[in-house]
Amino acid sequence: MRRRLHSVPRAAWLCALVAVVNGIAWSLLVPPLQSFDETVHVYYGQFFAETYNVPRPIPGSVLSEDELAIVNGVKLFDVVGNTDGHPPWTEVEDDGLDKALVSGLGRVSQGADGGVGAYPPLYYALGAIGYKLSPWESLLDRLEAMRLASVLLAGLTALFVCLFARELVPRPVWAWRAAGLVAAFQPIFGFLSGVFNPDMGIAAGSAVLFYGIARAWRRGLTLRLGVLIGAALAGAFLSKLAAAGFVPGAALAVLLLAWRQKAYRGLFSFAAAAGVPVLVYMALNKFLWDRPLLLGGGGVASGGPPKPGNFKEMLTYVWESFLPRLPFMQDRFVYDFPLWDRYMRGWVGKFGWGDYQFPEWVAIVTAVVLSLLLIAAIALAVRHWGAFVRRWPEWLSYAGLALGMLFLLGYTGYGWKRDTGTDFEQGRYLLPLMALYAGLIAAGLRGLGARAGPVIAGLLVVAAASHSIWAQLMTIARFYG
Amino acid sequence: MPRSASKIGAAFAVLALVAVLLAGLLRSRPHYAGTNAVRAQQLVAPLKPGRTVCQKGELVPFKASTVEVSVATRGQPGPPLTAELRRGGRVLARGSRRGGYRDGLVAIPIPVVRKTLVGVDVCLRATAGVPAQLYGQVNGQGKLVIGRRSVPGVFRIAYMRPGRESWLALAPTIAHRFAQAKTRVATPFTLWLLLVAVVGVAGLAVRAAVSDDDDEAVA
Repeated sequence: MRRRLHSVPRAAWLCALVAVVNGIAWSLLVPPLQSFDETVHVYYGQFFAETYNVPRPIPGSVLSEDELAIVNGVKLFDVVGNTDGHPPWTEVEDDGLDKALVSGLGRVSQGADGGVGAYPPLYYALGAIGYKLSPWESLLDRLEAMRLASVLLAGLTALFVCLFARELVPRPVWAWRAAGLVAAFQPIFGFLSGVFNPDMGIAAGSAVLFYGIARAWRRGLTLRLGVLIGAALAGAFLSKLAAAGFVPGAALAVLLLAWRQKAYRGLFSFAAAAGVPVLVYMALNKFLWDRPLLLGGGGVASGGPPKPGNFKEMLTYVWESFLPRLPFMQDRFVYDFPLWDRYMRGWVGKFGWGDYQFPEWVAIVTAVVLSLLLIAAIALAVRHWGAFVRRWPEWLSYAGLALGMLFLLGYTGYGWKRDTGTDFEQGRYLLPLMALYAGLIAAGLRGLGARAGPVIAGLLVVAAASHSIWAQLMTIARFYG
Repeated sequence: MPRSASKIGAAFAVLALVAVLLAGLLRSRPHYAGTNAVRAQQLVAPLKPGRTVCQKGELVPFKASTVEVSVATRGQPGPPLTAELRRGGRVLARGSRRGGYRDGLVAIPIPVVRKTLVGVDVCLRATAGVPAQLYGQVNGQGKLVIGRRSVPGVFRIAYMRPGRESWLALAPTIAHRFAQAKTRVATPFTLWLLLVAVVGVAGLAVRAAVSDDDDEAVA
């Protein structure tokens, strides 16, 4: 184990350090509950920590009295979506909240749905450990301890994203090193690494998954790598059901690996490592927690499957979520183009409950830079066409993973829109694909050549670090300025 | 050659960004001392000459130097306004402004508040001219009194700090605000520590990105 840790390059540790330091900063900068759906995620974490049980898709009370005191004390819903509003700035309000929190309020609700009644518990269990380890009993302190679970997962994510870039483009060193650092500074990743949200669980699981597959393509699908890939998939899935989008791609990747390398032991170890935890989870749902086996009960809001609808309509929705509408298609997005307005702009940086973001020109500059890197990566593939084509099963693996996730996002968005009338698409849902983001940057930098590449790599890291600091300053201005 | 070029390029980029950051931090503008976090989304109370509109139980923050409300005048010149901060029948502060403004935010100067006040009634009165209306939210209860009649709704109030300040000058205030209603780990000192850590780790990352160190062979 120690030898393995020593073999991890310093740059990968630096990526993890960047993520951890920024995660801690974000965890303290973002006021309590001021991030996407953090109210219900904290509810789940607290409920799990207090009862060793999980919420269920049933009617009843959701937030504990403790948490409701914070919701009111920080004026949560006066501030969300209201740029004029801000959390308490005065000691009078601070004292009032502290007094409320030590007045013996209830810490357990009836454990009802709240939109998370069918969510898997792995990420929340990590948060519950933080909750239990907190030396203080105030929920404000325990919330910070829960957020640190995200910080640790962010470090893990950044480490494995960097290692994935290294497996994909091992030479030159500056290319994967810069790619890992750029990913570690990504602002929406930083923001989510400092709040309590299962997006960080799936981000960490998917980073390990991509790394495991890339490593298996280079070194062979060993028993251990099979276990790593399977466990990563199961970990991501048991953190957030959206990881179901990776199942077809991961299965395809491992089948291709086993077929090409005649490594069938790795295939079985993958299946066992992926399947057993999920089967245990299903059994717990059925026999201990009285919940649906995997999905359902809570509807789309609980990560359940959308009701069956018009198949053609759904396919059109999925297509138009990411690609321009074709002439024969009905316009599903009259007011915007989700790939740009929701995914790209959200990815570049949309924070809080989505009520403040970077100006659009930042997204335009980012898109131009990424497009240039994509062109450079394609040029690299053309220059080394033979070597590129020989790796076709590996490319197919990554394509399977990415397309599976994008399809699931489109499919879920279709059901969500139909059932709730609101928009589903957000940039943060692309976090599970962060390894490919780093891979694109590494390949693009290498494609720029040995003269321009290192210069652009240095500039990109400066730009990414500034982007991250700017996001934090914007958050300070939003809530404290 | 490319490595020294990358160092020079990164150094210039860092210098340019520091210059932009400093320019932003040193630019002065008015800043808020606080708001009541009410959205200015519906018309909630008329401002008619001679009739007082009061909002009860407000928190008026330290260093408030204006009472700012959101007013609809229907395109007409707005009426002159007076504002009073009252508590327990006593007037704590009073201010007024001339009429002639148009729809939007209207600030009424008051003497600078020396410590945060709670349980304050913020009262407004149009002293002449055409009627206007206050914006706020209609869902508040027990807050708004027009004349002597309690009505539903709550109007938006914000309080500006005196003069213009740069972000740098406001930094100690920001550090104080950062520490409120959070974990006890969040103190003003923590904010400075975080900023140093974040900038420090960014420096380490840039240094690593332009370093000549190529010894990280693939294991």
